[in-house]
Amino acid sequence: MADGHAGVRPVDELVARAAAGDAAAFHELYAKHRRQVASQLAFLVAREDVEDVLQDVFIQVHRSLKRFAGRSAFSTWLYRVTVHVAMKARRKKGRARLDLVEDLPDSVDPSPGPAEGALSVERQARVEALLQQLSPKKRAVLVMHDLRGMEAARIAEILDTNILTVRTRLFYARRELEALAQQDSALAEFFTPEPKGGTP
Amino acid sequence: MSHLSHERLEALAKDGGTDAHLDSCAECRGAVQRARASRRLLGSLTPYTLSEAGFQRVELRLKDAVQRPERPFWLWPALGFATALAVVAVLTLRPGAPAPAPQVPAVAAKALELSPWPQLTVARVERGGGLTAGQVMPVEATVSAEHAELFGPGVDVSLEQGEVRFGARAELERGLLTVLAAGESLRGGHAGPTYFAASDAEYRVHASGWVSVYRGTVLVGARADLSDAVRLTAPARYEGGKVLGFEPSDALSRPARGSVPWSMNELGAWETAELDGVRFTPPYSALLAEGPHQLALRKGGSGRTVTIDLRSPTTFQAPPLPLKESAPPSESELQALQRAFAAQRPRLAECYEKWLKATPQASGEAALELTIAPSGVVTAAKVTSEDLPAEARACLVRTSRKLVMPKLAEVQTVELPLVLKVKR
Repeated sequence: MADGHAGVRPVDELVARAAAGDAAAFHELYAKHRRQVASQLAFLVAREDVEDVLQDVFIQVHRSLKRFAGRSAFSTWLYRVTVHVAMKARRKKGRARLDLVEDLPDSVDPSPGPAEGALSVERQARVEALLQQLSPKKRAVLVMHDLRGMEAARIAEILDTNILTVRTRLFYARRELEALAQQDSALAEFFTPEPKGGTP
Repeated sequence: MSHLSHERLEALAKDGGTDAHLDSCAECRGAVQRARASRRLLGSLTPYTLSEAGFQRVELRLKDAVQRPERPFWLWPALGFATALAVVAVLTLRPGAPAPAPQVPAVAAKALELSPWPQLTVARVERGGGLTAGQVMPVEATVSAEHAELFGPGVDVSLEQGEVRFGARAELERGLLTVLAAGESLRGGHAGPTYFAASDAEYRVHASGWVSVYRGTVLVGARADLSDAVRLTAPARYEGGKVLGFEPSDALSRPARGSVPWSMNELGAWETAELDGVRFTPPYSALLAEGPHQLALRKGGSGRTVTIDLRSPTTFQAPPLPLKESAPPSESELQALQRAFAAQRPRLAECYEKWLKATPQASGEAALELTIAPSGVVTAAKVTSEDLPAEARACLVRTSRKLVMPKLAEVQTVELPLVLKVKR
């Protein structure tokens, strides 16, 4: 529909059909974007919650599609829904699922270190657990920026906020990450101060 | 004292290097080091995603969810205090007695659902080639992107139907499945009546006749199957792997108009299925006309035959496997079930929380009956209660089906008494 609104893009036909209540189109939309959304959910929510949250995301998409007017790309809109549902889901489940949090072992295998690329399974589990200790807002910014390599402006667009807020959250998220990692002997070495003026 | 701009700080963190400002500003130095460390730490994480089964579970649940009418928000009055209350669910496990067939709750829809087969077409091949052993004839087949995704690039396949067999290799490009078929052991034969599908593929074999390919079985490694079909316009005469000619036969006619391909994803707990007396082979695909059909399901000594009335595009859910007299779970299994259930109890409690929001005084008792497959998958769930409203019962059933239980020696049905009340 050409409504003359500046910046409004033509809505993808599949999206339009799904928004109009076409169940087949909605399932096609799910098939098309499910991997992308699941990938975006990684680290935003705990590993064991990805399935439930993925479902919540698409239920939210189903409810909100009618309001999607094409003012941003569908992928941006979907990412926004994903991040918001992920943040909400985490808060919701924080109350009821404490007994599902597993304790990590006290000891850790010594390798590989930070310079060796991918983390060991155990270290990865520790980092994932550590990320879940950050507030959802800070975690979202940190993951999008430092893990996915997104620019602050793009994150601001997805979170529907301003760039200064993103930078502030990023700053405090890194500080909290450092403080938490310093308490874990397996991760503290990542935050060992560099020699003055040095490059890692 | 001024500090580095955000852009400069991030550039130093991303690309390395240094800045004279860092020598004199401990704050900026710390910020750059933190940024580098954070990028390094998070950048070394291995991403994770859902398994294909996980995606399919979500898809099935979405079907259910999006078909339910939305509940007006005002039906869920905000009850702040409810969040502060703990839910007590008194849960004890006891093995249930083997249930007679009619009382067994329905198996999850995914397991035994007949649904229309997605479009599969096989394109006409170049004419003139032979299909004797060792020769290669290009055949193009297209599959829906949905199925192409299952295959992955470069998979070994073979086309098989009745007694006609072609060795082949498939290569996937942008959803196109290209099959290079090499006649391996072509033998004449009739296609079964349930294996046809609308397809236009044709093999020209020698110059003496045609073999029309309608559907067959494309075996992809040992993992995924895709039913295609082979239909001979005439039985082939062959000798030593070499087709000599064809003889017209009325038995090999086009399938009746109105038939559509149907598929059954898996048999669940059943071992074999027959449709109208013909074995319904993996992946349980058949071209069926609308109307009544006899579906016979068997496992070991158990069996059930039902009449299914297929009306496209409706789906049919096959009946569950009747439970045989089985040994009760061992003590260790019971304990494992107890632990698994206790760990996942909060998921059921969420149903109670929803009920509490609608009805502040909500409380009651229920019996939850779970049928658990040896894999630990909850294949059926039933809630019996005179206290709980339908909405809460449905929520418990939905949630129960998502529970992950420990592996068992055999199928077990367990009963879980639930006491839903607010702990004060």
